Amino acid sequence: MARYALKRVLLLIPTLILVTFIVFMLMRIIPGDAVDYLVQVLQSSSGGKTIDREAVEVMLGLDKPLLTQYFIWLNDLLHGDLGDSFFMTGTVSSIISYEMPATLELVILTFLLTTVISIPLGLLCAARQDTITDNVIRVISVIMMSVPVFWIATLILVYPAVWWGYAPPMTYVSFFEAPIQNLRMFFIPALLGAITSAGGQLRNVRTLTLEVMRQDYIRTAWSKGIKERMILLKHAFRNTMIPVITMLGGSIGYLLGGSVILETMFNIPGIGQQLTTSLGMRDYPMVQGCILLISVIAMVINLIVDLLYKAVDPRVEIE
Amino acid sequence: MQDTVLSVQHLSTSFFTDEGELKAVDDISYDVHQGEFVALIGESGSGKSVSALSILRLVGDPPGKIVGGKVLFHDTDLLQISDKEMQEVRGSKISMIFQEPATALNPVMTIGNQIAEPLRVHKKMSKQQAFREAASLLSKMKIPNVEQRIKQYPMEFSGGMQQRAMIAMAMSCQPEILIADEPTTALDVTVQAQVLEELNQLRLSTNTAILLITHNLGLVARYADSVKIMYGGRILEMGSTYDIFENPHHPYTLGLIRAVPRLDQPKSYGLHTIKGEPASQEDRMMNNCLFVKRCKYATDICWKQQPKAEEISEGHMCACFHADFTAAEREELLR
Repeated sequence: MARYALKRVLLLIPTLILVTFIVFMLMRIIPGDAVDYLVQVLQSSSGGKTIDREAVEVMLGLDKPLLTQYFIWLNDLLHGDLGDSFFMTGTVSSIISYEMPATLELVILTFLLTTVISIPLGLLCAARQDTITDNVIRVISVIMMSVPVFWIATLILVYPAVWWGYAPPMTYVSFFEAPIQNLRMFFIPALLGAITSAGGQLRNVRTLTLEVMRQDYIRTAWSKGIKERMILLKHAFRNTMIPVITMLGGSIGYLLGGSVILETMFNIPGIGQQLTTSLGMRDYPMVQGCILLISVIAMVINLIVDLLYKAVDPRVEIE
Repeated sequence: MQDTVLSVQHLSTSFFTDEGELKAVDDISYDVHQGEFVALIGESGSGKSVSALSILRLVGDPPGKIVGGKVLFHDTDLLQISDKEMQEVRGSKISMIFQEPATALNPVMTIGNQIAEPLRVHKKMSKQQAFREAASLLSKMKIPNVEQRIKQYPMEFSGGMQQRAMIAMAMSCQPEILIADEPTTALDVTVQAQVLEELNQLRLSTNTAILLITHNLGLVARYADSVKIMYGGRILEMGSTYDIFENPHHPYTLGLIRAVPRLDQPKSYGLHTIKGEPASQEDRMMNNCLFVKRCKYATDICWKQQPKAEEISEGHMCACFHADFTAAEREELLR
């Protein structure tokens, strides 16, 4: 098991190198240029003075050949240096390390709520297949899946404010400083995120459970005189969990990518917000740093999911 | 005969699909006595498995539904009791083993856990007690290294060992009846014989009645006390093993016996088959003999009426208008 984990971690290295290359090149391929933008900004701030384009290029290190730039970045990366932001004061790592906790907290909370909503409801639907309970939950799940998150978020922000004069707190405090205040800020956006992703997940849990309930070993369990509840929880659940883990693990990537909307609407200083702003300004080092970090998180989660298989399914042979 | 433990009376089970009602089991009746070895024989689709599943009310509903009859276990009609009462019968009084041990055992639960489960549910044993009992059951089934084996998962067992574990599980609460649905079909021929022999030994030592569903006539001739021949959801002929193999009357039974290849026959004898196809749903819906299309003795009456089961000798029933006509073939076959 430990050897397998080590092997998987080592395998992450080539993947990581590939990711750095793609991230770096993607930024250069997209139209628009950080230099143009910076020249514009400098011109307007200096009251119309002509700015030397080439000087700006040299300043940002963009005058060198593309591959040289890539290797400089890679070299710095190996030394733990993600570079400096083009437009903001501070290094990329300092900005990211300030913003990452908020995003991670939002994603983790959303993920936990998604799991807590989708697994029990999915099981309930499967146990009560084609009854009113099942149908009602399924209809609600379709609504959950199809309503855009920004729309419910708008309603939640506007109506309580109008009716009761209540608005969710909008000032960020770290969880470790003031946990209750922090959770009051994060709970609503996390719940909204969970509602949109739990709709699909609970339908998957339902389908997968029904699939398992048709298996021969479930019929065996019935023939042993075991109660329905125990069959569902003891015999079916672990078998259902094998594909469910893959699904839920995979959803974390989407949650990371989708966090930007909720971060923006609820004023959470997270990496999603940072990424969109930096992309708009073509802040190469910033965008590269953010995407790299998100990729690493996604890779680590995939690794955890793979290792979890062994815990759930004894048939998975790990060597 | 000893006491009757199970009496199936006019049992009918149908499947309801978009195309309408499909009769899987149509008005079958038979008794199982204490410690008796009963064989239910028939080709694929003859309703033998469904009739057995119906006894334990394990037919998937929907689409399956038991539409009529009684299943008397001692004096209780199993079709009338509540789900909760039925759960107390399953695995405790009547248990079942299945065709494919590889899929019938839960892949993510240890063997010990699965065998201990009925003991914990029905006998209210503690975890340690149930595991100790499970270990002793497994070693009775001639599985070596029980202490170690009990912690393993089904995939670590061979097919024969999986089926032995299934048997240990089914026999754990000393049921009065064990339903074995083609228990050896998925196994090697050599393992088949061993497993069935062990099953039979277990029956003799515990006095559990066995209802064996199979299409292996060799096994039946060797172990069974009585035999029911099923065709198209009905029982065409039933009687003691002697009646069926030494004095068969129904043309279908004769055909089945003729189809078993024998070493003492000359090569020129060849392999015999029963021509035609199994009874279709249309055949089952019509009021004629189910076997009529494939029967060489068929006459007008066979197309117009359903033959009633008639007693040939005590306990030997045959549903055929022309049971007498088969005398010549019987003579020839058993010579």
